[in-house]
Amino acid sequence: MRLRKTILALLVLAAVVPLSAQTYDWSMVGSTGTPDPAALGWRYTGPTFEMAPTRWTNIGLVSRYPVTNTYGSGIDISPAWTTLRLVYTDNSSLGSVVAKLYKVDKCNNTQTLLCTITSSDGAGVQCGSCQFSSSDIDFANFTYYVEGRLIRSATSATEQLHTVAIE
Amino acid sequence: MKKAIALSLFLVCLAALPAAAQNNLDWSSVGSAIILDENMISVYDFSGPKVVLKSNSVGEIEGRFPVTNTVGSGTDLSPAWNTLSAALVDDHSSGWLTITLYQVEKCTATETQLCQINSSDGADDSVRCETCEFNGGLDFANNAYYVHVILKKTDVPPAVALYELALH
Repeated sequence: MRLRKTILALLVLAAVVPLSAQTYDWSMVGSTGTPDPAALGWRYTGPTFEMAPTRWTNIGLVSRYPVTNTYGSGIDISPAWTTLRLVYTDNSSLGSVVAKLYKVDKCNNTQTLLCTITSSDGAGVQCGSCQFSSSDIDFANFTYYVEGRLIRSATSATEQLHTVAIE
Repeated sequence: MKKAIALSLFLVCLAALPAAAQNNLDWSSVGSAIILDENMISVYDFSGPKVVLKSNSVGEIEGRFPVTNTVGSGTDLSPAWNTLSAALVDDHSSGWLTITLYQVEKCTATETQLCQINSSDGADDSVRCETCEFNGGLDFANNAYYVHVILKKTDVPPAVALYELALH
């Protein structure tokens, strides 16, 4: 009987876990960011942010993605988001894809880095993530953005940013 | 009394209709908020809400608009949107707009075309709405979305402009 009650309680708990804890909430494809004016040699292809074929840079090309409260501020102005996700391609040790989530204070403009994803070398499209505290998400008092950066020291490296998302 | 009851019933029914069914815009963006590809040659202008190909030019521009869940995931992660609409100008066969809604799967980055508007030639350069429809709504839990736009002129005469995009 106790076991049955425990299982029932677990099932009820599982049912009330917010969807945002398991799935994308805010998301943007790589090709819809705002390229930095210094990011010469970037290219948008389909959903992807990448470098032009002959371009390489150790400093990196940057594109920024504004984060809005897609949970809905009428429901919750501080959604319980805890995870930044990056979908990328990085097939070489001669390059990397980096995504950073920042929050910016509404009046003093102080910027705080919440978490960073640095790509791993591998074949094909990969998914990376980093965690932050849900208490850091407060759209009432902060603005948020994701910085995407492509780095490579040789044109043979394929470094692509496909999607950034928060959940 | 009967009239009052009928009117009340009508108002209750109207309020119960989902926003999509009332054909209201949900997600929307003005044309001039387009994110253009690199090295777009200067054949375009921004003016108020519109992006327009210059009247004395020939060429094309390509850009994108990020789509977000304006219903709010706290309310619905899978809004039942089924229509992409565009307020545009295209008055000639040698100019056109191609507007495509894409879905990008969350870990594979696999891209799927949901619907496409290929502008028809209007009788004049007045702004009008063109639409395309898709099935199944959107699923923001497992995908990202964007709208891809091409504005093109192969001759000088056409007026080609995009004023607004919307999903509902």
